[in-house]
Amino acid sequence: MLDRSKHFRNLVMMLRILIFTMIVIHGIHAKPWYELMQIGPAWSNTFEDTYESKPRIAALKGVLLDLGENHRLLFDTETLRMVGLYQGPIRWGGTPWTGSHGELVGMSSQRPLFITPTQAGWANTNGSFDDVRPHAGHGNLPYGRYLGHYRHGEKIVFNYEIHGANVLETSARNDESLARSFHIGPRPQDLILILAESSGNFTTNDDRTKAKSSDGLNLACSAGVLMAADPKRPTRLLAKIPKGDAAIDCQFVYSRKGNAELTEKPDIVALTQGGPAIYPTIIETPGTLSTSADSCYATDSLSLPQENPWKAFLRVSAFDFLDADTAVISTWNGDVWKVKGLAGNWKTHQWQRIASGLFEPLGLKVVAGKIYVNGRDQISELIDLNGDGEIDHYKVFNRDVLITQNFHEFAFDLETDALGNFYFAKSAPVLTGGGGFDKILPHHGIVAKIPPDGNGFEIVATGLRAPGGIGIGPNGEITTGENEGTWQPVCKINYLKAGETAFFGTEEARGMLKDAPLTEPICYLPKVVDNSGSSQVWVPEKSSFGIPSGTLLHLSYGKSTIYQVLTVQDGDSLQGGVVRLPISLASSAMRARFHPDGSLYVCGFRGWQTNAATESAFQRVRYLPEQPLTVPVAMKYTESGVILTFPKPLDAELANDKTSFTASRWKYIRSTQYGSGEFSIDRPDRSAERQALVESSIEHSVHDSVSIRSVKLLEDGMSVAIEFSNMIPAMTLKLSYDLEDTQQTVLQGEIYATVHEK
Amino acid sequence: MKNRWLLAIASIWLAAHPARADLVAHFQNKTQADVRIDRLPALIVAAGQSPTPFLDAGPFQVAWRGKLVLPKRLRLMFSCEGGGMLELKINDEVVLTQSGVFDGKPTKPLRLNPGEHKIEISYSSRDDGSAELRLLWEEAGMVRQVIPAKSFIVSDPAEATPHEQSRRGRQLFAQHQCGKCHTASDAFGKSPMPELFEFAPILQGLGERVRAEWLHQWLLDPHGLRPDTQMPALLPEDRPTRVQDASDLVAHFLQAVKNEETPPAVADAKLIQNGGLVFHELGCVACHQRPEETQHDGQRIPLHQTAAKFLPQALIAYLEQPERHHPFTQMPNFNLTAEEAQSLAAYLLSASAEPTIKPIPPGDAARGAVLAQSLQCGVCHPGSPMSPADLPAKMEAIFQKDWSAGGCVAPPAQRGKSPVLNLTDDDRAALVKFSQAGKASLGRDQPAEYVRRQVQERRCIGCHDDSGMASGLDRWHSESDDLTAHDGNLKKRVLQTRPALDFTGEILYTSAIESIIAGKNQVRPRPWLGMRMPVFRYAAPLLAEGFSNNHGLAKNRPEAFTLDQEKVSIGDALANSKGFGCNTCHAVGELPPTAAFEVQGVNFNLTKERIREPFYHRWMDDPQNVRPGTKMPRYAVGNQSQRTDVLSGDARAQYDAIWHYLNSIARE
Repeated sequence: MLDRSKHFRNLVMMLRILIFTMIVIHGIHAKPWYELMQIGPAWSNTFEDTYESKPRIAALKGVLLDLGENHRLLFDTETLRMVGLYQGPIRWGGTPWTGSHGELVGMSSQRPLFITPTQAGWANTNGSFDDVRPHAGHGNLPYGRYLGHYRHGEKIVFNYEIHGANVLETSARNDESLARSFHIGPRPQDLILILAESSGNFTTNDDRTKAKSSDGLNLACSAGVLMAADPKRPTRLLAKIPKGDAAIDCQFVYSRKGNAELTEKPDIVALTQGGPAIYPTIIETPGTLSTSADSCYATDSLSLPQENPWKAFLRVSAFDFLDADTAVISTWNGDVWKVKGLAGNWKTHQWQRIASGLFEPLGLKVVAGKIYVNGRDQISELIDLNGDGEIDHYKVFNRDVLITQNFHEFAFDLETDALGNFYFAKSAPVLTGGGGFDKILPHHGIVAKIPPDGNGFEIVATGLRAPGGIGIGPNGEITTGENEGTWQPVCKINYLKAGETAFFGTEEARGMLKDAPLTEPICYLPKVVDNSGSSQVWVPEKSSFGIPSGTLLHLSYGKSTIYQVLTVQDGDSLQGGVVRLPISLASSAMRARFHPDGSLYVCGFRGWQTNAATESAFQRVRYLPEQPLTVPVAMKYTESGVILTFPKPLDAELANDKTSFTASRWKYIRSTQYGSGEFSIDRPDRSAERQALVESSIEHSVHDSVSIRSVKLLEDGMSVAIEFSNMIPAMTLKLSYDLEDTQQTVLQGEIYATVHEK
Repeated sequence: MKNRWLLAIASIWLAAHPARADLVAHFQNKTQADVRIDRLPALIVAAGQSPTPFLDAGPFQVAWRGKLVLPKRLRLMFSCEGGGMLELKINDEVVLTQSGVFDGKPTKPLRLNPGEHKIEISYSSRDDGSAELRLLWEEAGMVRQVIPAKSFIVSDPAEATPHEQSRRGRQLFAQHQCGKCHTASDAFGKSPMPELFEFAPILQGLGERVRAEWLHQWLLDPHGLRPDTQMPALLPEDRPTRVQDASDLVAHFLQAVKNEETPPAVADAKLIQNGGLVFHELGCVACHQRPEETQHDGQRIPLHQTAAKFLPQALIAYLEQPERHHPFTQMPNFNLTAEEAQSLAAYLLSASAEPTIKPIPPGDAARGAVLAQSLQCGVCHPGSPMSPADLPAKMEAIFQKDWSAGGCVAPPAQRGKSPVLNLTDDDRAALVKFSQAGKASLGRDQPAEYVRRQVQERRCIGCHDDSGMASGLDRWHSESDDLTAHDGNLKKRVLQTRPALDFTGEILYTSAIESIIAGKNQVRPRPWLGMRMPVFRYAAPLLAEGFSNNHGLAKNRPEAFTLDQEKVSIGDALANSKGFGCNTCHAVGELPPTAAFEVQGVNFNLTKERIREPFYHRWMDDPQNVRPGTKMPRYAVGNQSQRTDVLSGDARAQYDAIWHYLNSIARE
C-alpha cells in the first residue's frame, strides 16, 4: 500500500515536471505578438530584401500582399514596380514591431519566384527605366502616380496612373504560379513594363506571348500585349502594352513549375466596388467611469479590445469623432477601429476593426464624415464602398512626402484649419543612438500643409527634430511639440501664425529656409517637465473644461501629462509657460480632442521613452466643477515680474507673503550635442558653455535664484503681482507657488515659462 | 606639487559650481578638537576607532553647522538612524532629539519656507566611542530618505581652514614618503594611513623599459619632465658633477641590459588610427594631455615624452599592466586587450615627440651603484641600493623640530643638503602646520577620509561628476574627438554619460563597490559605454568601505532576502510590458532591452547584488531629484501611481513589488 502510494506520488511528480517542462518549452518557443497578429491582406511598410546577394531597400513605400502559404508579393508604390514574389518567413524588424531602431522588415529572397531590379516599374517616354526623380531613390515618378488600393474580401486591386493611363492590377497565386491581371484605361502611348529579372537570359516564342529564362522562370501573357527580353540586358524581361483609346484587360503569369498557363481573367472593375468584410466580429468591452474625487478632473477609461480574433495589438496613435457616439482610432501597427457607445452609459463599447495594414499611422482626422489617416507613406482617405462598415478603398489623398528607411521617419498628427487645409509634422531621421542625423531630405523636420483637395504639398516650417504632434488654433495658428536632441536643447512648444513660415532649430533640416533666423518657441520645457512632447489642443468656445476657452493645452508623451499653456503676447507671437493640470492618465498623452459634450478625449501608447503606465489607453477626461481647480488660469509679464491669476479668491495672508513664491531661471546651449544642460544666466560659465558645444552637457545644472522683491494680492482677490529683483529674458523661468484659496484649499505648483528678448 | 594640481583642478570646478554642498563638522573629545568639511551629517565609527585622524579613539562629540537650503516651501518631517545622542536644531529651534538606539520615527511636519535655514546637528557617540548616524527627511510628496548633500551649504568655511591645512600637510607627508627616510621607531598605530606603505617603482629591469637618454634627463630634472612627480631632485643644479653623476646612475640602473634599442618600429597607419580611437574611448584626456601637446596645462599629466621614455614593447606591457613594476601607480589598469594595448602604444609613440637622440656622457656603473646608495634610492625604490645606517633623523625627532627652519620642507635658503622635494609654498605651510599636530594622526586613519583623499589622488573626478561638479572629461573629452572621425558608428550609440559619485555609498553595497573598483565584476553593468571603469585593485577594499562610511553606513553586502511570490508576480507585471515597460530600456538577464533608444539602463539581473533598497526607493520616487537630467521616468506624483489599477495605485507598494521582482532575478 505504501509502495503504491509512493509510486502514485512519483507519477504525479513526474507529470508535474512534464507539464512544467512543456510550459517552459512553450514559453521559450512562443511566438512574439507581431508574428501572431493578422495584419491583413495588404501591409504598407518599408521592406528590405536581398538582391544580387546583398541586402537592399526593396521598397520605401511598399505594399506587401499576403498570398497565403508564406508567399508574399511586394509592390513599390513609388516606382510602381512589382518588386518580387517571396516565399519564406518574414525577418522582423521596425520599431513598432520588434522595438528595434534600424532593422527593417526583411523579405526572405532565398526562393523568390521572380524579382525586379531597383528602378522604375514602367519605362519613361524615352523607353528608359532610369531613376529621373528629383531625389533619386525617393518620391513619386514624374510620369506616374499611385492612387491607392481596393479591397474585395482578401483580394487587393492596386490602382495607379502611368503616362496618363489608369491602371487596375490584381494578383493571384496558384501553388508556385502567379497571375498578374490588369485593366488599363485609354493609353496615349505604348506602355513598357518590367516583368522580371533573372540570373539567366530570357527568350521568347515567336508571337512573344511566352517567355522563359535559362534559370527556369516561365511566363505567359494574354493576347494583345507582348513580352521581350531587354535588348540591353537580356536577363530582364519587359512587356509592352500598346497605346489605344479603349481599355485593355491583360494578364501575365509567372511559373517555375512547368509552363506558365493563363488563368481566367478576373473582373477587376467589379473588385473595386466593395467586397465582403474580413473583420466582421464586433467586440464589446466594458467602460470604466471614474469615481475619484481627488481632483477636478475625472478620467474614464474605455477598455481596448486587445482580445480579438486577429491578435491585433492596439496602441492607439490618433483618433477623431465621427459623431457624438462614435470615434475612429488608428493604431501604431496600422489598424483603424471604430468604437461606438461614447454617448451612452459606458457600460459597454462596441469595437469594429475597419481597416488594417496602414504604415505606422500617427494622425487621423475626420472631415465631413470622411476618414483621413496619416501614415509614413501617405495620407489615405478610407472609404467604405458597400456600407458594411469596413473599408474597401484605401484611397490616396496625398503622398508627396519623401521618406527614407530611417526608423525615425515619423509622420506626426493630422489636423485641419478652418479653411480645410490639412497639416502634419514630419520628424528628422535621427541616428539609432538618438544623436545626429541620417540622410536628410527636404521633407524631414517640417510642418506640411496640404490643400483641401489633396493636390499640393507646402512646407510651412522646417527645422523640427521629433515634434510628436501639432495643434491648429482657432485662427489657423500652428503649434508643434519638440523633443530634445541635436540642435534642440530641451523639449519645446513651437508657434507659428497662419500664413507665415518658421525655422525651428534643427540645422540639418533647415531645408528651404536657408537664412531664416531661429523662431523661438512659446516655451522651453526642461526635462523635469517634458522629455518627449506630442500634440497641442485648444480649449474650444463655450467649453465646460474648467479653464478658459481659447487656452492652449500641451500633451507630454514622455511624462504622460497634460499641461495648460499660460500664453503671454510677445508682439505678433507668443511666449509663456506651462503648468501641469491635475489629470491622471493610464498611458502617454499622444493625441487629444474635445468631444461635443465638452469632455476631452486622450489617447496614448508606449513606443519610445515614456513613463506611460500601460501600453496604450483611450480615455475621457471630465471636469468636475464641484472640485477646486488648483492651477492659475492666466499669466502676464510685467516690467518687474509676473501677474498670476487663479480661478478663485485667494487667502490674502499667503498671497501677500513673499515666501509663498520662489523663482529661479536658467538657459540652455543649443548645439550639435544631444540636448543641453542648464546654465546660469546671471553668472555665465563661458568655459562650460563653450564645452557644451562639443560635449554632452546634460548633467550640467546651475540655476540662478531670482529674488522676490514683493508680492501683492490685487483687487480682484484672485490675481497676485509678483515683483522680482529683475525681470530679464530667460529660456526657463521657474516660478513655484504655495498658496491657499479662501476655503483653505492648498494651491501648490510650478510654472515653467520662457521670457523672450524684447 | 601633485596637490597643487589637484587644487587647481578643484578650484576651477568650484568656480563653475559655486554652491558646493557642505557642512562644517566640529569634533571634540575631552582633550582634542578637529574641524573638517563634510558633505553629509553622517558617521560610522567602530568602538576603538578614532572618529577623525586628529582625535584619539573614545567618546566624542561632533556638531555639524551650516545652512539647510530649500528650493521651495516644504513641510518636512525629520528622523534619524543609528545610535548615541542627537539633537537637531533648525533656526535655533530644537526639532528632533534622540538617544540610545535611534527609533527612526519622523517628527511632526515642520513648515519651512524656501531659502536658507540655520541648521545644527549635535551628536554624541556611545560611551564606547562607537558612533552611527544618518539624518533623514520626508514630506507628503517625498519618500523618506537621507537628506541629500546638495541641501546643505557651509556658513563659514574659514572655521575649518587651520584644520584642513593640517589635514593636507598630513596627506603630503604620506604622499612624499617622508616616513621612508625619517623612519618611525615604532608602529604607526591601529589604523595607519595606507599611503605610508606605498613605494615608488621597482627599478629592476629598468633597462628593458626606458631609454637611457630619458632616464638621464629624468635624474637631472624630474620636475621638469613631470610637474606633478613626487620624485625629489637629487642632483640639484648646484651640484658640479650632476651630469656625470646622472650618467653613472643610468649606467648602474640600465647595466643589466644592452639598452641599444633600435628605433621604434614604424607602426602601420591603421594600428595608429585604432590606437587613437582607444585613446579617445578610454577618456585618456581626463588625466593626460594629448601626446602631441608639448605645453603643460598645469592640470594633467603630459604625454609628449612617451616616445622619449618608453621602449615600444615596454610601453605595450605597461599599458597592459601598469602596476607590474609599481603597485601603487596612479595609472589604473584598463584591462586592455593585447590588440588595444598595441594600437594605443602605436598611437602614443607616433604622436609624441621623437625620442631624444642627444648622446649622454658614458657612465660608470660601479660609480653609479655607490652613488645610488648614497642617495638612498632604495628607500623609496625597493631593491635599489641604500644605506640604512646613514638615514636622517627619526620621525619622532623631526616632529620635535621647527620644519620651517631647516630640512626638506624649509624654503630653499634654509634647506641645506636635504633633497629638493616638489613642494609649493602652500605645501610647505601645510606640512609645517601638520608637524605641529604631531605624528599620532598618521596612525589614526579612517576609510571615510581615505576615500576623500583618493577621489582626488586617483582622479576619480576626471571621469565622474561629483556633488554637482562636472567631471574633467566633460571639459576635456572633445580634445580627442578628431581621433574618432573615421568611425561613424560612434554617433549611433546611446548616451555615454557615466555615473556620478555623489550617492555611490548610498546606492551600492560595499561589496558591489569593491567589485567595481577591483575589477572583479564578470559582467559590465554598462556594456554600452565606450569607456570602461579601470581597476584600482590594491585600494579597492578600503575605498569601497570609505564610500559606504561617508554615508554613515558600515561595510555591507546583500543579505538574504525573503521573496514574497505574490509581490514578485505583481512586480514582474509592473516592470515589464504590461506595466511600466522598464524592460524597454533595461535588459533582463539574457533578454536585451526591447527598445533602448538614446539611453540604456543596467541589466535587472544585477540589481540584487548591487543596489541597496533604501536608495532604490529614493530613485523610484523621483529620479530627477537624484540625477537631474536623467531619462529615467517618474511613474507617480507623490504616492499616487499612474497605475491606479494595481495595489490601489499606491506607488510605494508598487515599487516594493518591483523590488521583490528584481530580487527574484538570478544572474545566471
